[in-house]
Amino acid sequence: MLLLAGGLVTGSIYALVAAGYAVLYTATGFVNFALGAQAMVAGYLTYVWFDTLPVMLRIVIALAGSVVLSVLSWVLIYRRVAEKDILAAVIMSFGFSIVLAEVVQLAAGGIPRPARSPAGTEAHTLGPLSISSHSVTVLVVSAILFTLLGLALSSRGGLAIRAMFQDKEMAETIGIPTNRVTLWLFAVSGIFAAAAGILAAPILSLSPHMGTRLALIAFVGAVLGGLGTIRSAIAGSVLLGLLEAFFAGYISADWRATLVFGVFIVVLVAKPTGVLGRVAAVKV
Amino acid sequence: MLELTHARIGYGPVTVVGDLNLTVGDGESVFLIGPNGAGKSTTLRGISGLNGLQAGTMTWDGQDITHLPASRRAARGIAVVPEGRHVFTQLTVQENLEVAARAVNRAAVRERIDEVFDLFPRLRERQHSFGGLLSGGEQQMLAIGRALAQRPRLLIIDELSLGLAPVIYQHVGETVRELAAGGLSVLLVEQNARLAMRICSRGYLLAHGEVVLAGTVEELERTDEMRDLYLGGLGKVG
Repeated sequence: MLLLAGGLVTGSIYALVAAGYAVLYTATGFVNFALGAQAMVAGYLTYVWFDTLPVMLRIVIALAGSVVLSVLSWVLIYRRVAEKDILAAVIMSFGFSIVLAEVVQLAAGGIPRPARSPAGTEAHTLGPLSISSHSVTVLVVSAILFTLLGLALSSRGGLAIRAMFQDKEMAETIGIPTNRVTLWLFAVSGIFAAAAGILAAPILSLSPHMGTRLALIAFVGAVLGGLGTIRSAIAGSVLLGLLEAFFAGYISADWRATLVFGVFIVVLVAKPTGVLGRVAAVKV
Repeated sequence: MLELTHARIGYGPVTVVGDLNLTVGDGESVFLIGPNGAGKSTTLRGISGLNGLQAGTMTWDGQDITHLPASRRAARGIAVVPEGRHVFTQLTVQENLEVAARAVNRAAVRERIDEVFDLFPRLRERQHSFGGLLSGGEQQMLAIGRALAQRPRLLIIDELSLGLAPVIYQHVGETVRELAAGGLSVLLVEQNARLAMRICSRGYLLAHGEVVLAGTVEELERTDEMRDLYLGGLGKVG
């Protein structure tokens, strides 16, 4: 039971980043590896740099900061390259995440910082299950965000976005301003990344390079489910969190990174479109 | 209404259409015909705005729209039925129509969808089916219906008959002919010259990215090029 809860909690955090990947990938074919680093920056904004301000305000700053990073990095760095060679843009996002990590390291030092959850750390006992307030918050907040995303996409306005996910050129032709919608989607992915960072920091340790690990594991989760649809990317990441928790609990905690990337290789070899999904049609 | 002047269109550094002068008047129906690779689809991509013009200008109602993004052209009244139809396969028929109707104007969305259903009753029967589950003919009706749901002033169709059984494209072609007769401007790319000439009143013959012949249907019918290349074996084709 404990492993199940723990797996769901880390899985939800991976899924937040994975949802960010999938939102962008389905619309543009672009995988933004800097989402992990954006999560890390949001962590520092929340827990380190503005520690005199009230916590809600710090969270707002972190969310806004991540949205700005997301949108500006697309407009200023990736967009022009992505039009010509999407893979080059993906590699640039890797580079950008390293830059963000190094900048934070220069500004705040490389040692991991403690991050105290705004939700508190007291444990709640539910029958056989003991779970911290923070873990409950992770589950509730990510469930709310996923629900909101689902509702937004199934709404009238979301219809245009779903059309764009399926056929961007046709969507543009019928009058959907796909460039502007893409900016909104980058903003949304920024919010998901920030939420992941704020929620992950009290569990993982908050350090400049935490984003890289988060970015990679969430990517594995997204690919496990299928990067081509948002739902399957989320489900795959939760599944990966559970796998990781049970593997660490029953077999070996030291080898769990190996498990994650072992899963990655197996998925890529056996079913590159993901266990649940399929790759979105991407025209390069 | 639509006027391309010395338009050069292509992909990146590659030019496909060299120096194109083309007009479609208000209420006029015009076809483009030519062999594969002549630049017909590229011309349409230039008009819809998916490919920018490398040189030349394009005007719409006398206004320069050369640099207007594709998404803004739909709102001006230019609607496109692309080659391969490109219906949104994971949206229902009704959603396909709704998304297009709403993209240009939020008013009277329901009425415009109903108009399409009245025109193609088959689509009303299948309104809750996903676009990807329709037959080729139904997809073509949906692609045309999606364009009409925008209440366009110019309907651009790339390959009306391609991949459809004669009985289907005759039916769809007849609908388009009636729309054109009712005053909608039509620009049709079509391999089937007889079908194109039945729907349209004027046409251009394109080859190697250039207009080699232009004129009314009656004028074109008398030319050797059209007779030899497209109307040969009179009575057997179409």
